[in-house]
Amino acid sequence: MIACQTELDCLYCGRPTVHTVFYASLYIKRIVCHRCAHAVEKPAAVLLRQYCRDLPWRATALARRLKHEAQADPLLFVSSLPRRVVNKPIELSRELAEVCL
Amino acid sequence: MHKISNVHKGETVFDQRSAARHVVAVVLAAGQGRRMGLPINKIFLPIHGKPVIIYTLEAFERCPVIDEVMLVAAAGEEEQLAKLTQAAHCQKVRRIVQGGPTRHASEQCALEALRPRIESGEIDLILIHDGARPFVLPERIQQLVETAHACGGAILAMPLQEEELIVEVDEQQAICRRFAGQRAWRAQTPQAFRAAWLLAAYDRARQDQFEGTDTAASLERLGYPVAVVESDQSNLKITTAYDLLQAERLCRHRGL
Repeated sequence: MIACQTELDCLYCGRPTVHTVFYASLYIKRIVCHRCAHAVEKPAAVLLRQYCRDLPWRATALARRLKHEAQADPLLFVSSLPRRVVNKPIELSRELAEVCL
Repeated sequence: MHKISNVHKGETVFDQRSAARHVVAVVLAAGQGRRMGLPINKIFLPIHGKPVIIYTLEAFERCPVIDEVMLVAAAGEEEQLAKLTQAAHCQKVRRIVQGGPTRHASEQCALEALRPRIESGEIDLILIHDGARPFVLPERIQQLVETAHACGGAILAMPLQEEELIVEVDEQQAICRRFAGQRAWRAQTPQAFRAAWLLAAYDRARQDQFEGTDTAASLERLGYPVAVVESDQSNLKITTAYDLLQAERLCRHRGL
């Protein structure tokens, strides 16, 4: 899970404080204030719905990207395929775990 | 025809637009993050995988009345911003300058960088925009530019809700003035002004050691007219955790 630290205004502390923003896949999952520990969290069901809704769009974008890569450099594209075929399902299952857990 | 250097490729390009109507958008991206020694300025936070600042710049890219964008970055973040804008194909970003410790100081840095071109009459209008307001609509920018061309100065603003009330209090915390909804407006950015007026107002502000909360304040105190163009809540500034979640929802809603 990717986590980014930044400064945001905390409504409970009443001033700008350091927050950690946790991402699951491309989506914000949780934002925590370092000072008061107040957390804004997206329910797993909402996150999962968001993730599933975007999957077809992501698949289309991936197909388009692969097509461009194949046209630009066929040799490089073919050589990268085995690694990608193995890695993509791993990546998807990791994302799904982040979203659900 | 004006010679302009291109920040991305180290090239020199020629702008063939009319000199009299050249419009420059200054995007303030010198946030607090780096100054506090934190790893990420909030303008770099990703929303659906894309940094906030890129959404902001894309609004200006899509707006035909904007000729050029100048980015004001925090010290040490110029290169990171240049790489991001290059990767996102932001063609209108011509220059990235280092900002100051406050919003007003960052605006002054941008104006100093533009001073020769303003004084030569090359730039007609300057828009100042917060980098953390990623969802300004290109149509609204266009409307703002048209109003600023007509009036000299214009800002985006949103009327308060009818049931909302703003009060001004004195030193004893007693109400001395009240503004009902529909008569009080919440100022937003971009704010657009004739370039020569803006430069004169900021030179005067420096002399008087005045620091306004927004750009328009420096012009209003000298009596320059500033019109209001109606905006809405979608032009939000990301300041709280809730704004960040709202930004994510807006992003999906607009299909960005």
